[in-house]
Amino acid sequence: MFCFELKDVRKTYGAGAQEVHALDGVSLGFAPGEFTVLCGPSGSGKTTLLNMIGLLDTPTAGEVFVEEEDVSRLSSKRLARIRAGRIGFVFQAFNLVPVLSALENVEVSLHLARTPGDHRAIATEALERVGLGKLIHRKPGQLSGGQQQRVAIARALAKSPALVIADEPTANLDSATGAEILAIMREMNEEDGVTFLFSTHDPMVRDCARRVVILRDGRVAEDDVRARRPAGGAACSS
Amino acid sequence: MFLLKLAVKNVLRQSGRTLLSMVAIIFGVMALILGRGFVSGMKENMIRAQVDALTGHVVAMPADYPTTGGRFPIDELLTLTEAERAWLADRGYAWTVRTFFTPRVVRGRDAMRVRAIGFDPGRDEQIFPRGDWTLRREPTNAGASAVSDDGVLISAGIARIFGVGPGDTLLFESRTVDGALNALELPISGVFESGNPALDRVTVLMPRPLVHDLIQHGEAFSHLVLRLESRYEAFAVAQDLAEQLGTRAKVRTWRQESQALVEAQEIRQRILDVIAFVLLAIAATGIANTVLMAAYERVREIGTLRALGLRRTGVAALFLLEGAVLGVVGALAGALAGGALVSHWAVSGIDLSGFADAAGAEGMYDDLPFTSMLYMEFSWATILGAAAFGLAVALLSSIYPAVVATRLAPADAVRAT
Ligand SMILES: Nc1ncnc2c1ncn2[C@@H]1O[C@H](COP(=O)(O)OP(=O)(O)OP(=O)(O)O)[C@@H](O)[C@H]1O
Ligand SMILES: [Mg+2]
Repeated sequence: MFCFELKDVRKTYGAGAQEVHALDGVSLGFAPGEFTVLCGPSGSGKTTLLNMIGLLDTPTAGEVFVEEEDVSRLSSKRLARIRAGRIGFVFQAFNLVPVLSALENVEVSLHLARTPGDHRAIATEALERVGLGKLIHRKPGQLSGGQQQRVAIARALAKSPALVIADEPTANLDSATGAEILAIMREMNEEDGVTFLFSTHDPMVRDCARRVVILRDGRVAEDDVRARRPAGGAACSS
Repeated sequence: MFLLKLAVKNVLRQSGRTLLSMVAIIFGVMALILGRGFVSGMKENMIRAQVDALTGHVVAMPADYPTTGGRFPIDELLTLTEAERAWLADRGYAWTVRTFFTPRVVRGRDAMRVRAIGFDPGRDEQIFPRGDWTLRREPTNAGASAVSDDGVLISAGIARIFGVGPGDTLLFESRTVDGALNALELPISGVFESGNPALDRVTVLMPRPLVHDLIQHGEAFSHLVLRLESRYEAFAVAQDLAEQLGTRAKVRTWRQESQALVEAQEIRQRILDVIAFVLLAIAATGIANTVLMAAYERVREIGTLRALGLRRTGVAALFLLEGAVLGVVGALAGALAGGALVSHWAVSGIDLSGFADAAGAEGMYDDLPFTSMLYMEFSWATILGAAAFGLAVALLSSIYPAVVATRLAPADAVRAT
């Protein structure tokens, strides 16, 4: 049973001589609670694939299923609704709203997700979980990269999504900070059972995932599910 | 609600640019308010000057009397019956009669035709106040009444043309009502300056007995003028008076008499409106630019909000709100500043005497009545209208940037730098 699934998804950019097959028939499913890392050389289609799963873009051909529903032909309004409620995003460049405080950034996401309950309390708790309990009123410009990415994780997770998508979340961070961020996400995955899907070039990140999917030229080259979580790597210990 | 908060914060973030757009709206709204306040003040000023100097609130004249062209015939004049006098007294109106005619004034080898107004020394000043006039008289005469029966009052314009002053004499030539030629040498009892070009150019005020000596009109007159408690009664009173006087007279209200003036002012109003619109159009491009820049600068932010589930309509709303924030603040500030200036000038007035002199020298405003103090008209309708217009301009000019922002594809936008 998959909560998110791609069936023979193709994405073509451009036309004629400039045609690029960013995804060339990808079929992949993600079960609830899975922690998957997407690897592959630059230009192999990682970001394109995440955009399909994250409903930020629609495939040229093939289907995308979210919790058994085919969403590949839905209106942008319906897609926005599903994104708001079910999918959390963590971006390489953090993508916080610069004029809003850490707390407000998280609240915006709860507001758009129409999460029931006291948004301020939920947002505060989410920020405390990522270790920013004291900095909730700071603007992104007053936070370090690692702290900003923690806010982004809190924003993605506060609304209790079914899936968190992170496109190279550690690429803009030094390795120690990257490891911290990764550890936080691992912890959330284990404690809350949230499905995670990452892309990365970072071997450290790859080594701590149970499932590693390798893309090459828009196709799945390897889909490797390890029996158990690899031990050892500092990045993986919480 | 959070969109509004976000809009406000975004507008505040670019304070310099915001200020520029804001200033443009403020000036546009102010220009609308001041322009309209000025023109309606001018209109009001002219109406009042005309009422106070020439027509009163209701004026009756012979049925065939010309109402345009500056002709003042005396071949057919009016007289009042006892019954009509009683009716006027009974109604309690302030009234007087005047006789307009156009004698030739001769002094030495100079001669010119002037407009003379024959007035009733006992009553005229109650209808046509002279409180604001400056009157030059002979020093020996200084204590005497402004209205003397033994001489004429001439306008400053005539005094200049003939180089005469109080104590001098002028020869007046005119036909009598029967068509006979007559001439009379009359002393100048004073030179007046009313501040109203319609009087100050070439007008002679001549007491009724002297007029009679010149044109032999007896009890007759060309104009019966009423002054009312409120000028808005004029229409009803004019109807009653017309009924009393019958077909031999035509009765007109101050409104009819000032129509041409008012129309001229409305043209001016349109010109000022165009200027204000141009200012607001400049403001509009400023705002469009501000909001558009905001859109392009914030592509990634828009993408992020879209990824978080904000719909296209939400993005549009955000940018429209940013325009609205600019518009509301700008329109309010413009309305406040414009309203404050108008209400100041509505009370203390603007001195137009320099303008009147300049215009008078050009001969442009010879026939226009106005007084040298202009009081602007304060009107809530104008202020609210101008503010609403400024706000609408701000909103309209953020439509295009809003559309641009909604067209961004979220997948590209989240990764923009
Ligand atoms: N908007 C676009 N228009 C045209 N071509 C695109 C677009 N987005 C991606 N591509 C192309 O599609 C292919 C896959 O790009 P994608 O961004 O998915 O790669 P990636 O694996 O994420 O690479 P990287 O590791 O550098 O982030 C590339 O060849 C890229 O040039
Ligand atoms: Mg990529």
